[in-house]
Amino acid sequence: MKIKSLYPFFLVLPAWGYLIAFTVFPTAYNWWLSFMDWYFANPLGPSYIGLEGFKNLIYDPIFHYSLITTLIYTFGVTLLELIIGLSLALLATQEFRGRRLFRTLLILPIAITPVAVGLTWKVLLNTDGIVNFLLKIIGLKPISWFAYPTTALYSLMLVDAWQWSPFIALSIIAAFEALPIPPIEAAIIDGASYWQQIRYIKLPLIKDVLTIALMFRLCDAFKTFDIIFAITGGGPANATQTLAIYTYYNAFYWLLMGNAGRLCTFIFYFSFVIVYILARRIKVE
Amino acid sequence: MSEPKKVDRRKFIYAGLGAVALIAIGAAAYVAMNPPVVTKTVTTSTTVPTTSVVTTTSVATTTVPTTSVVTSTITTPKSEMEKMMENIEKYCQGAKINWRQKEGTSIYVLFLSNPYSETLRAFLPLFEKMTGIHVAYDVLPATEYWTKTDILLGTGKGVVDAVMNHPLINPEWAGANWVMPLNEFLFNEKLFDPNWFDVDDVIPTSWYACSGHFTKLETGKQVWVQAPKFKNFNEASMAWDKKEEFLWLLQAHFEGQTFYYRKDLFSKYNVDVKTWEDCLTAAPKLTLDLDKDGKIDVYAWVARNKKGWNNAPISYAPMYSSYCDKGWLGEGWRPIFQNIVKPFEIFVELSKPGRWAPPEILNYDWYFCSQDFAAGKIAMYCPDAHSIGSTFLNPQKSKVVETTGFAHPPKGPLGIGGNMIGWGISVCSQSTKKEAAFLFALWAANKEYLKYTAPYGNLAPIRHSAYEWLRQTKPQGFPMEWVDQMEEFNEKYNKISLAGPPGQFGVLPEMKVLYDALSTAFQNAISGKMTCQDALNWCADEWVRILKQAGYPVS
Amino acid sequence: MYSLVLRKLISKAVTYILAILVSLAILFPIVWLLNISLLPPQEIFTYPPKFLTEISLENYVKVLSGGMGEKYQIAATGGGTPFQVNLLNSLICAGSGSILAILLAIPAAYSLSRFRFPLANFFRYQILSFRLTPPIVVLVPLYLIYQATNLYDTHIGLVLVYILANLPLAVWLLIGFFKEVPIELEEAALIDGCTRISAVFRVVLPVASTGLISVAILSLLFTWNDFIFAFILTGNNVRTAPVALLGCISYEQIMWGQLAAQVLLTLIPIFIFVFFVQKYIIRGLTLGAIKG
Repeated sequence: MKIKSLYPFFLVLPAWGYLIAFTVFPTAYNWWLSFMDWYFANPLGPSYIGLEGFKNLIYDPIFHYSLITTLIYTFGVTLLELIIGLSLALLATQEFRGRRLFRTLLILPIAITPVAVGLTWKVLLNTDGIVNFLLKIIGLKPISWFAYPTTALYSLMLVDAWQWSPFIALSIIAAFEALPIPPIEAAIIDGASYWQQIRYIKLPLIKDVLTIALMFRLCDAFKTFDIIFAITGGGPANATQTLAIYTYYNAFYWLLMGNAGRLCTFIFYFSFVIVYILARRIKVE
Repeated sequence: MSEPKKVDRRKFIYAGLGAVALIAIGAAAYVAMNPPVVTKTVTTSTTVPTTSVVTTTSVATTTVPTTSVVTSTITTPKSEMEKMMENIEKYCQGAKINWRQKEGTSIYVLFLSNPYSETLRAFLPLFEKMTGIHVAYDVLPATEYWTKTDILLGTGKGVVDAVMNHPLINPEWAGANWVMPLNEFLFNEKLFDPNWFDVDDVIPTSWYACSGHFTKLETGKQVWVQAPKFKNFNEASMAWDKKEEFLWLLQAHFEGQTFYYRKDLFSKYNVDVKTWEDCLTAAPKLTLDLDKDGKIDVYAWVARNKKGWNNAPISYAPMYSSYCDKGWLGEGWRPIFQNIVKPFEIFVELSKPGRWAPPEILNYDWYFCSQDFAAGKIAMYCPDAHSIGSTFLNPQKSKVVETTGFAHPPKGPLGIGGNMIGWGISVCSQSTKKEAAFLFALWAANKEYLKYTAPYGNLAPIRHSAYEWLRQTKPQGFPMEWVDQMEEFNEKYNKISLAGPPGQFGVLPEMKVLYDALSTAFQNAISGKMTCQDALNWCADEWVRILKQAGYPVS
Repeated sequence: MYSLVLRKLISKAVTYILAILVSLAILFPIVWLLNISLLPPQEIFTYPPKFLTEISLENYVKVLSGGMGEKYQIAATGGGTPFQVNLLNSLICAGSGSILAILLAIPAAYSLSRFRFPLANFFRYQILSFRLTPPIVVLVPLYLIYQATNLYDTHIGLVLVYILANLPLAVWLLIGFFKEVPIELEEAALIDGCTRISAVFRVVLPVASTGLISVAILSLLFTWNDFIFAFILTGNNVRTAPVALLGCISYEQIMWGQLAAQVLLTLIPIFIFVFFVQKYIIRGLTLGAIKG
């Protein structure tokens, strides 16, 4: 319906207005902080340094490293969860006894507090821990999951995937079940095999749902804090220090509010750009 | 999909009600099985409130000992507690101060969760009874404590009246005007009685550690200068009187270093460790595969190596000070520590993952280190705080009760180094109830209280009388060699050994950022990403960058 | 003929094996937590690991009666609140947060789903981008505001923040659900003489009711486990369950037994709840976006 009055605006206003109201002061404050140099425990308070702060940020090697780590983590985790989630969904849509119970189990990882997930897996994946013990029994070599910078980030991605793959899986399952039957029947009559059905019929039909679920996962993976902080706290030799963790350190450990403000501003606009680029690719109905 | 909506909704409501009912029943059952435990009562009666300590009738069987035992899960018999409180009260009445002068006020204190604050909380009813001041408090685990205090102190506008403070954090807080010097209270007869407080009983290292002043550089930048090592209270008092130095907190105990090791393994494999190099030679001998299954059961060494300023650098600072007495910064605020490579190398070699140290060592913080040692998996624990020792002596938590050895930290070329930490209470400068807060800080450091609480983990106390008490009562399971070690270490060797102004040891307020960089350097070197010298050089460059950004006149 | 039957058998077997492996992978940490919560402390980190060799309910008792402390049996955090209080706080804040967020989201979602007007897309993406920003970005300024307006450490304060956290998701999902409601129904109601508002209440909302419930449940799920907002913006009075987990990190060691007990106690209510309403969750996740 096309309406040329201001009526729709007023409807959107409460929600959008609430969001803006709650974030306008923080955003403005972050903007202001970005131009300041402020060590929180400095009795003289903040001092103006203008664009100098941004120059420092751009040349900061730790910032580069954190950005790269964040991107690897975000996209890696989303891809991993897509693959695992798809496999889980395919598994869960087979006909077997206990299928309903299986689907219920899938909700379990999502429901646990991320901090708890982090601490739990930290102990389980200890080099002298249970998982390595079981690997030894099977005959494989124990892996040092979090002990080295090279492996820590990937182990973290696995833990995150453990918790959130079911999210993708459940979306796909639900989408599969909502598919209309005729096209699939037609395909079966035409002699399509199971995998051909999946690839050429079902997947394209659920593209929209899948994209939206992936976008939510992407957003959340970008923000991940609890799990990383609980397990490695930024990791052996900064290997798992993402932007969120780096900002937290700046703001709450080192009390460098100026740096924190600049990082927050960067994250805010960076994420806005990502969302815009990605959202243009999906066909929003 | 068409769903029979009515049925679903009903199921949903029933399910919700069922779940809520289940939880409520379960909770009610457990609460009913246990009588209430905590009351923060302020009574004006003359008898000590008896509801503050209860031996719970819990489901698991815990036997109530009749003598005090040095474990951290003791249930002190009510009678013992009452007697201690009585003695403390009698002692405090002997002071020339009117304890009730701030009757009726209420203060808010922030506690870090540790044995000091736990015992303090147990005795809080006595304080409230004696002074009429109500104490509201919040207890937080370590990392969150720092975050919350920074937030609350920096923006709280007088919300907090007293905080737990220690000499490493104090420069930051004092420099920001969040805590205030106690000089004005010390010279106020109404609030402080030196004779009663028995100022000479206190080990003078405490006065030195908690005192300091600020100077301004030409650039306007404020710098903390640690007080000199006072020989006794008189010296300290003169400096305070002349306003050359200020006292910032009333310390209750030291956290100096003890070198924990396995006596049995040392004697079995004929190992003796006197210097840091000895650690290096001893390490291969002490890495053991006891049951010959190809998996190492006992690692020779463990140290706190998780990323963070309060891990590796805190363990390293005493090592550094035993190799170099010129501080971390030299002429023109330029770092000189990167030239002292030997101790760094030793630390890195010892900490290589999987060789002589546990494979996960780069993620080891305080908890995991002490856990491993208590489980018997470690032969040498890099010198760390005195207070961890009580965990090792607790039969419920540790398998090495009989076999833990306590010694001074290994020597370097310049002798034994130390890194002074130690908790005490500070008064917040924005508080509106400063005198009440000071009374609390004073009471929390008084002689009788520290004496009685020494066996319960208030280690190592700052008072000679407390050590005497330990020697006198010989609490079960408390090795006297450890008492001697702590007393001697804190009198002679303990000192502040972090980076200060050029040529000095002290604490820069930017300590956390600087030592975070150092901790990253350690991790880079230990994981093999960089060589030791490269890591140190990288760290020195980082320090120059940080110091410049902080406004120091780095040449 | 035989090969077909054989292939079917093999694929069935593979399916079962995979399903069992996945179930084990999911249940493994939870069973381990259960194990730890029922073992006495020294047995937790033995090697080889022990499984339920001794059962003691000590941890649950300590957690539920607030007597988690050591020494003189005084609690380790916050004056000894029993864990039920923390769970209740979680329920109040997360529940109110999700319901109020939906109420606020309905007009916006309705408008964005039905009308095409300039800036509609802009609003839509902006609202979504709020979801992408890490909480850190708003945390410190928000803390300052809360201190100044006395909202710090109150239920209301936390609920307001949870509404903020839930709004983007709610708006986006509700747009999808409202689009599912056929316009014809609404137009019929309008022709029958309803005003637009009453049309919404009588037609759109009832038809999309399953969607509304889905969004409510999903929001509840996501904020039940929130940690960082609750941690910074609350203190002693309103401690939610995830923040209370910190109480297990005592001075000497992490009290794994009690940590495990608390984690399980946080998990079980939400899991039971979710078990019974999983249909709604799945519905929410599809957005009903499949059109044939």
